[in-house]
Amino acid sequence: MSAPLDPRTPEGVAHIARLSRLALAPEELSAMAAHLGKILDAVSVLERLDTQGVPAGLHDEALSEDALRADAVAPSLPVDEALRNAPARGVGGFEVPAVLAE
Amino acid sequence: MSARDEVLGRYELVVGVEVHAQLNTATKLFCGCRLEFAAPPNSRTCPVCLGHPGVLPALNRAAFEKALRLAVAFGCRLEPATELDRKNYYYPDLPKNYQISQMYHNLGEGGELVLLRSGRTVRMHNVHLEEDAGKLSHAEGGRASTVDLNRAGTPLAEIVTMPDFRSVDEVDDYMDTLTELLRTLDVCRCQMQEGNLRFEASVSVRPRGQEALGARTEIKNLNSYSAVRKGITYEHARQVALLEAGKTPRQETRLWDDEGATDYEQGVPEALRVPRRDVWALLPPDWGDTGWTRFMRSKEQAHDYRYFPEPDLPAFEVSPARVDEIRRALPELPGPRRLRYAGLGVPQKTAEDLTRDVPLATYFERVMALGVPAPDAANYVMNQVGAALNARGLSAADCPVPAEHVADLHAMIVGKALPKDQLLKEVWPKTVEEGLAPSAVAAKYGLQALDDALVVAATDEAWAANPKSVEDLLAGKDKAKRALVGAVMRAFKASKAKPDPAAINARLDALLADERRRRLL
Ligand SMILES: [Zn+2]
Repeated sequence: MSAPLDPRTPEGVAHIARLSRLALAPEELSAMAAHLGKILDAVSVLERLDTQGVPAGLHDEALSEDALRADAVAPSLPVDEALRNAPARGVGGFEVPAVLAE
Repeated sequence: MSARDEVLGRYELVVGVEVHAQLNTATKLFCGCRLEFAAPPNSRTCPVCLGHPGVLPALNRAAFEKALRLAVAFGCRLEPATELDRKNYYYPDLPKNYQISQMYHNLGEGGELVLLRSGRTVRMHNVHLEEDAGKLSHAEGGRASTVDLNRAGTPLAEIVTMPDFRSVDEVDDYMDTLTELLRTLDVCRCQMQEGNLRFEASVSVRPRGQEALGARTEIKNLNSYSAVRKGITYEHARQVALLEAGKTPRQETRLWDDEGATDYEQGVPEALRVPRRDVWALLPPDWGDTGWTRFMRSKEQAHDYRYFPEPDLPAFEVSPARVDEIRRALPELPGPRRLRYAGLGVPQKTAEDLTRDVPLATYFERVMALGVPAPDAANYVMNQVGAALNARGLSAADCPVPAEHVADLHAMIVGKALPKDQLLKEVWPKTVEEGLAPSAVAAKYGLQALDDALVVAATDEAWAANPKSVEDLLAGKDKAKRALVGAVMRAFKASKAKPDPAAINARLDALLADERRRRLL
């Protein structure tokens, strides 16, 4: 990756749309750039907060290991149920367009 | 020195290794689906590992502990709390469209591993926890692929080294050392054929003496020890061939292709490729036509994974007290264990074989604890116990013979309760088959040692009755000795008690010495 693209620009929006597998028409890109810009401006208020002395990280308090799930087997779904929402079914599995690379 | 060695010798190979080790827990990382290799496709899935909306992951305590144990064994720096992150990408085997991994707070940073063969120390970069993806299969020529999500959500420890390897042999040493460590720590089954261990290597070369590292290639799809060795060997040759042609390798990702034969350097610009023969000239002579790394993507095409902290999972505390507890509970690691066995008089090779097989080493320890000296205990465990296990295809963990029976065997050998040969060849197989102690087997079948005087008398008789053999023996024909031993054994054919061939041999030696002396006089 080179330098991140600015999501306030049509180029930046096009990049994010590609990563999100969203098909946006060229005329939608500028409109979306403006929308995204407003959202980012609103969120950027947070940048003015004084975070001196606040530890980095997502969570206030870490849970102890006791809060973790015990390694005990729970029933899985029947195969038919698991595949119920599959767009297409192959032999015992979800069928998708052919994937050759990787 | 061959031309090939001479060219390769001008450059230094630099390799770092990444290992994905599937943790041997009962269930997946975030749900209770059972982990089971070769279960029917999609029979081990649930709304969590299928990525259905509205579900929440619940971290598996055993997976967390196992990954921590590994990080502690490497001596990693541990943060007081660990968090997980989202790695976003689209691929059919990834139902959530993101993988829960660690980016910003690895479970462990740094640490090291001492290689078992060379004794060299390799620096670790980090150890972190992540979930495996599902499995895609594609029928040759078909227009569709099938996704099996049984593997999706399997806990993985990703183990990343620093670029500390300078040869394929060193990487080999590392793979063996790591495998043994993972088994000893009971964190991974290490069955390659089940995909328990998957490797990636980052490979670069630089002119000898140059400090700066060359641009590195990441090689993916290294699913066997041999693929790792071959992938690195190939990449070494390809990059040196480029440099020799005045071209500069670039940072890129390549796939190891065991059978690749038709698409040599497809899609690679002229400035970054050399003729096939130039690469082959630098490969080992027995390389064959196939097997190479296939270009996958350049640095510029690298994914943008938009990592961010996983909002569905809390942070988990790693308290110093807990780390201490894990450290104290670590089993003895393979390196120190080998040294200890060798110090007890166990031959080097046997010490290595024992250490490699954790249940067998545990069994060996039990035999020693019963008072059998280490070299003898190792000998019985590798031979008598090993043969019994091999014949039944069992691990020492399921050994049908208790360690006490081995100790009993040893006591009978040392106490000369029966000839050693008879104990090993006749009594031991019955011990294994019938589940009785060797002394109980001897009692059941009325086996007892012969009085030494009887053996001496019978040997003297055979000596007198076989003058031809005696002359042959005096002439230095060792075969004659066997004939005489056979004659003595035959004399006891009808008896339940069998003479010890060692006792016969000792008497024969004495008779022989006497006879020689007599003839000299
Ligand atoms: Zn599940």
